[in-house]
Amino acid sequence: MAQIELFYLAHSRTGDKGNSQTMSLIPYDEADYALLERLVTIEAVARQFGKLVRGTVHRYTLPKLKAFNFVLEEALQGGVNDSLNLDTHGKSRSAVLLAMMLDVPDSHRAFSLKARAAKP
Amino acid sequence: MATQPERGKIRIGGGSAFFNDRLDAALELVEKGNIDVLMIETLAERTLALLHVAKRRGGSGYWDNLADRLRVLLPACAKHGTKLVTNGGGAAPEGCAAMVARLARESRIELKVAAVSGDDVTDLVRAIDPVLVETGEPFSKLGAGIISTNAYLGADAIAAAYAAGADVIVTGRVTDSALALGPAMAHFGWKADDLDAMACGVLSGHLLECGGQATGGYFAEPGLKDVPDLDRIGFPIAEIGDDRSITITKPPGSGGRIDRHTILEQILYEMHDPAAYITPDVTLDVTELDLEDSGTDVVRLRGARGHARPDQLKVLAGVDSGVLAEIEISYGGINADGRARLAADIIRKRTSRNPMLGNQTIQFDLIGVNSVWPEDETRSVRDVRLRVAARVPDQRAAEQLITEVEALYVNGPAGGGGVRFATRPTIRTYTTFVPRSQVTPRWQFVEAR
Repeated sequence: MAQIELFYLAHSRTGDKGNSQTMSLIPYDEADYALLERLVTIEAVARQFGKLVRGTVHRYTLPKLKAFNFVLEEALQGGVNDSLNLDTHGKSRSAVLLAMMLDVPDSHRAFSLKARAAKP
Repeated sequence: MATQPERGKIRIGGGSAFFNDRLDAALELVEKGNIDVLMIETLAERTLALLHVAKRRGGSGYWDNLADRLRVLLPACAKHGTKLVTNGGGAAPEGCAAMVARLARESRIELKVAAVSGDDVTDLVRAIDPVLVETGEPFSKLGAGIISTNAYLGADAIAAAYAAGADVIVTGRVTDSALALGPAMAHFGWKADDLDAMACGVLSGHLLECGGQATGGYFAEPGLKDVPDLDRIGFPIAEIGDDRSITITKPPGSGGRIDRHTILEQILYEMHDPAAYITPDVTLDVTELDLEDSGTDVVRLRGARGHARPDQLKVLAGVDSGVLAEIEISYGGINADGRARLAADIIRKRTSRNPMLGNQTIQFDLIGVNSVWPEDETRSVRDVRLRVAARVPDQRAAEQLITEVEALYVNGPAGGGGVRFATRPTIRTYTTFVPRSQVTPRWQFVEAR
């Protein structure tokens, strides 16, 4: 096993509804759905966001579409109503999720993807 | 003139995700997309309240740029037989529709223009005084400063206007997806109790309402998930079949990307429970969707499921919330972040002694270090921008904060540069619900005046 960022296994888009943040997670390879279901748990996401999230984290699984949807409550400092953040809507937050480190087998294709995507 | 649309399908183009979205891509949909309907979405949560403010100050109540945009789009729509459906009516759907009719007459185009209204529920909300989601208290407790109170209408009035032969339909607040569902209901003769049909129309609208976000916009990650020709991204087309299938494509030759990945990101965008996406027309369930990726920028979706629609309509109230002031100054080179932190410390101490600012929450961000990333990343940072932001009661207080940051030029740390500032009025929104039975969506044809 070795560590790699979720960034190389899946992609994500963030949106906002009030003070909640919504966030999809879609594996590049559908075959990784089960791996992500096991590793990107509610607890792991709550840990990854740390003090950015004050409320409950929900995870919705979509086994047929091979995707996940997360809802992070009380995650946007009050949302557009109250937040003084530069990114008021929290739209850049998918980057926080994708920085999560995962333990995956050494042979996983994500490592070659990472090597190929690496900047010179 | 375009050929009559085939009854077995309707092609709807997503021509705009916000009031100022790319006009060339919307025009391309009409000219090359072979679409029956062009959907123009323009109203974010707060923008309707801003239009109400402008209207009270003597403005039109709809976007100033809409006429210029329609001068480009209407002749093309008339030439290709494309209907146009927009929520660009904002705070004045009838006035906006009259403006559209006037534009058509000026261009010598024959167009029947309809306005959909009934979303302004100010009187109803005053009468029944519903509880607000955010505060748990009745609406009346908001007191002064209420700018607007609008319900999210569904698709029924749009469908009725479309069935009556309207070429352009102008609405105020409707749920975005209704701009697509309405024409589909009229085209196929779908009834509101056909829940899977409603679900198909709502999902189509959901995929179109953010324009390029369905065709590779807001998606690219260089080297990992690339998108071809983003500089000329094609906006999405949903071809809805009478078998309730949805085929997502884009104009031939346009840039962008349609596949499982781009479509899934947009299906789930701003959804909570994917089994229960609540709209005024139906509760949409996408969990059993079949997604077929052709590999050639075409994705076909089947199996959108509908569950009962809610008995209540969501209402958004906009309330005046003061002025947001944002001021920035840059520091570069060795210890750039150290000097930016010193600048923040000076501002923090001085504003705490200022009677107009002492009680305000002031936020300090170091852009390049910690502004959109949760931890400080100061390793080898050589380019830092201090951002000072506060929501203050009025413009005078905002000016005081701006002055404090400007004075860092001569009184702050070494080498600060590039002060820029902006102030804008802000609006706080509150959510509540009213019984559907007490809200009456209306539509009417409108003549030029």
